[in-house]
Amino acid sequence: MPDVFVSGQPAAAAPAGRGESWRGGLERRSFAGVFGLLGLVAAVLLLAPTVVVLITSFTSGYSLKFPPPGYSTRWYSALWNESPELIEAFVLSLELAAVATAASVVLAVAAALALARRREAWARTFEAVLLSPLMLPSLAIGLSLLMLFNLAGTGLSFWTLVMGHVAITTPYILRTTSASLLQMDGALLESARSLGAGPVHIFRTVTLPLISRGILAGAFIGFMYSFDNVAVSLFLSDARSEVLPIRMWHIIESSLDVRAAAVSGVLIAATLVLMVVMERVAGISRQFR
Amino acid sequence: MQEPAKTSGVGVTLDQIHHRYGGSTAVESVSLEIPAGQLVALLGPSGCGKTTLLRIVAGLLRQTSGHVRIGGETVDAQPTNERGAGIVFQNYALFPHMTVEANVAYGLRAQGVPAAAARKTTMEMLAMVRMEAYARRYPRELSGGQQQRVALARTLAVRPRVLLLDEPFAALDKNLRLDMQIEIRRIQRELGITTLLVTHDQDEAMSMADRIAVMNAGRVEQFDTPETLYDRPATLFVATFIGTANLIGGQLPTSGGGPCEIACDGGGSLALGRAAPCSRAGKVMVAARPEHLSLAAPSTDALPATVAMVLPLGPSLVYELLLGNGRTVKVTQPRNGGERRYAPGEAVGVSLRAGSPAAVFQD
Amino acid sequence: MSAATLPTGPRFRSALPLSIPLGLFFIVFVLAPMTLLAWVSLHDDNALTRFGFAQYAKFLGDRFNLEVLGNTLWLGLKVTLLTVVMGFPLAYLHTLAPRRLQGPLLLLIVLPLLTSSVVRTFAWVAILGRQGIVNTALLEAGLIAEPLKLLYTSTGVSIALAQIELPLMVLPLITVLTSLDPNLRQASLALGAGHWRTFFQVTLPLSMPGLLAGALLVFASAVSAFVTQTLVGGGQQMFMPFYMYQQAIQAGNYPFAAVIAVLLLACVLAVVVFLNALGRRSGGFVHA
Repeated sequence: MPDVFVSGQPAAAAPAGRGESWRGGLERRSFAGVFGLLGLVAAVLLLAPTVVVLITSFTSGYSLKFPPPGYSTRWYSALWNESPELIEAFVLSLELAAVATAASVVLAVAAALALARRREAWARTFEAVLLSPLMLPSLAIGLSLLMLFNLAGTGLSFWTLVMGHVAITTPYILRTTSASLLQMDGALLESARSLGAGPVHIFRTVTLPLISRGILAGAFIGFMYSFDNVAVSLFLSDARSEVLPIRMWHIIESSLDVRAAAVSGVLIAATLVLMVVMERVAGISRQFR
Repeated sequence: MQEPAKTSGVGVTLDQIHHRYGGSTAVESVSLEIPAGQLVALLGPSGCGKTTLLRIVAGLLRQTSGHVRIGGETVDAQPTNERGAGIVFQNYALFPHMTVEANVAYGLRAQGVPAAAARKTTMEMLAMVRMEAYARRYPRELSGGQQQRVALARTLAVRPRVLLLDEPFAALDKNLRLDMQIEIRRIQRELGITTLLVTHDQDEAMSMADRIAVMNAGRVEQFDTPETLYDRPATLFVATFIGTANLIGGQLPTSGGGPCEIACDGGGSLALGRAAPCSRAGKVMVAARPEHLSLAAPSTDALPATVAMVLPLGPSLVYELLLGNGRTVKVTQPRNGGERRYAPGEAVGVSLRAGSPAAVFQD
Repeated sequence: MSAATLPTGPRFRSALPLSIPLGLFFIVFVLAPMTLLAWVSLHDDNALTRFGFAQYAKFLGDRFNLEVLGNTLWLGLKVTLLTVVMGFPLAYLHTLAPRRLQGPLLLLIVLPLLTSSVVRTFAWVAILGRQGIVNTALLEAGLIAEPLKLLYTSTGVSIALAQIELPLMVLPLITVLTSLDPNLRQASLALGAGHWRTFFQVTLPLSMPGLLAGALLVFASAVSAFVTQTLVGGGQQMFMPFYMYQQAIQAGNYPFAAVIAVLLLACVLAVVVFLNALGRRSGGFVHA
């Protein structure tokens, strides 16, 4: 048996040794290759449409030809100066989303406080039921609400639209707020109680700050979802007011106006900016994990 | 029960292993020769690089430079699944969606062993770790110790050339730990398989290993048998990491051959009883174990101290003594050895027992 | 919140009344309308005078209607499979990315979800059109002589929807892959298994909960993707969502539209139950 030795002293030279077997190498490379290729295709596929739209929006031509014949910002100025109906629709969508999200926050946060930390079966079921609109086609929700309002004789208005949007945005806020509540350390509340704080005070000073990020993230997602929604708006808009996505759709279907590309460009840019802001303020990427 | 065939032990050589990760060096210039069939422990505090080294041997990590040789053959270019290094993880890593039997048979089936033969070997392995009755259970139904035995059976089923254990007992209750240590040692000896064990628990290393490599900040400070490490630590770190050691600072006078005396800070001197280990004069640090020191009436060739506390601990008395320079020294004395006892407040002289080793480290 | 009662423990026990507002809202604006929908579907005319299953019989007895339903479900299945095949590698790559890049990468994956379906569909109209990038590239490469008709085909719809729904598959997969113990994969390799075997025998089975959750979301979204089906599919293929809209708004035939809605809902629910049952068998619970 050779003498044992300690660090620093080199051993005698030894043979170079076997490498990886060719079968093993092939196996490993084929796995990496397939996954790498598919992943790359997926990534490109994921981003390409957004990039194409952005580039097309700067075309100097009149069609959606890609690559564009030249570049200019004419369609953005056309959007800004010559499209009052689009701007009107944009403002309406904004108002609608803001009101709906605000109402949803109130309803959903209250429900989350009541249900999130309960383990009983009925609470779990109740929460699942409240979250169900996430999985149901919003088209069906829109149609059913239309029938309801017709039956009730209220007709359609901005407020019926708001009701529809609240129905589809509350689940998002409920979900993120519940997740935040679950992550909260119960010992914090117990300490606050033992120090003599009342329930409202505890909510304001302990609970709310801790779940604010979850609420904000949910509100952001809900807001975007409401702003972008077509299905519910399709059934519940009256003729006077059209939300932006629907107006865009008309443009695309009828004339394939390049202004639609400009609108898309603005919306994409706005979403990107908001997303980055939300990430810094509320760390929303964690909500998606 | 059929005896499982002995795995032929092979030696493992680590040749100048360096590993950098991020901006820091995880392993620095480590060379070790692990003889076939022996159990070697990599011992050190967390972050010392021992787990990194283990993963390098397993092939889970590719070292920045240096070579790993198993059985004399350089394996650097071989990927994990061809290296024949069986590894048992700290959390056992049993496949939760497979039964115990399927877990143990996994490696065999992966390497193309037909189902019938795999089943036979699986049951042999389970018998060896005494888990045959649990073949159809799922990992989540087993206790920590049971899971570890299954993990061991799974690793050994594929007859690895080398067995690697990553802090295997860290997740077990203290009582269970000793039983499992004995069990694993028994299996290791029976199979004659070369084993590398990573741990931060020195008692574990001292009781299980044939040799221990004490690691600190990526380097191996000493690689020796447990007794040698205890009696003759090579560095200050080893002296304090293994067992308890009193650190006494002092000055080494110019050596003139013959037994030397250290002039200690705080007055007094300590006679080493043998030739000076260091050639040049200057500042030194003496590391002496509590049981290697003795107490007597104060004298010029002893270390002056005052007794601060006396505590009985099992068969010994532990004295906590205050030196002149404010430092403390622990000395243990057998309770029924017939030696004179001292009470708190008494002045005593501390000296090295005749024939006892003490380590001297020079700055 | 009732200030008279103190919350007992960290469960806000007295806060239960807080759930009443949303509960009431849900009953009035979701449950009642849905029930109404089912109720209307069981009538024969808009005035709701004749009760019966006539409309259901009308739907299920007609070959055209069954084709519409079949096309829709088949579309859902195709899109789900496409997203699984592309989503898994993408999620896998995400877990291999350095930690600093994972957050931004996740946001890039999420971005399509937050943009309007009209915008996303418009992008595909631009890409698949006669003057779009695909045709231009193929023409330039000399592979075709004339622009291909990619819009208004079911293939075009499938691909467009696959891209649009891809994030819904990737996100749950990333969640489940990051929660997997990395030692499991390494243990498999150390035991001598190759990468493909490790994937199919260890990684995939343990990712099932995420995979099923993603499949559920993708299927439900794909069959209801009104905008994409209509704009990219054009009039060539009829799917349930547009059929529903057409019958309700353009033809004014509410009971029939209700039948279409109920059937669509029933199919989605059936798939949810099925996938949940699969999920329970594989040891995980599937939820959105």
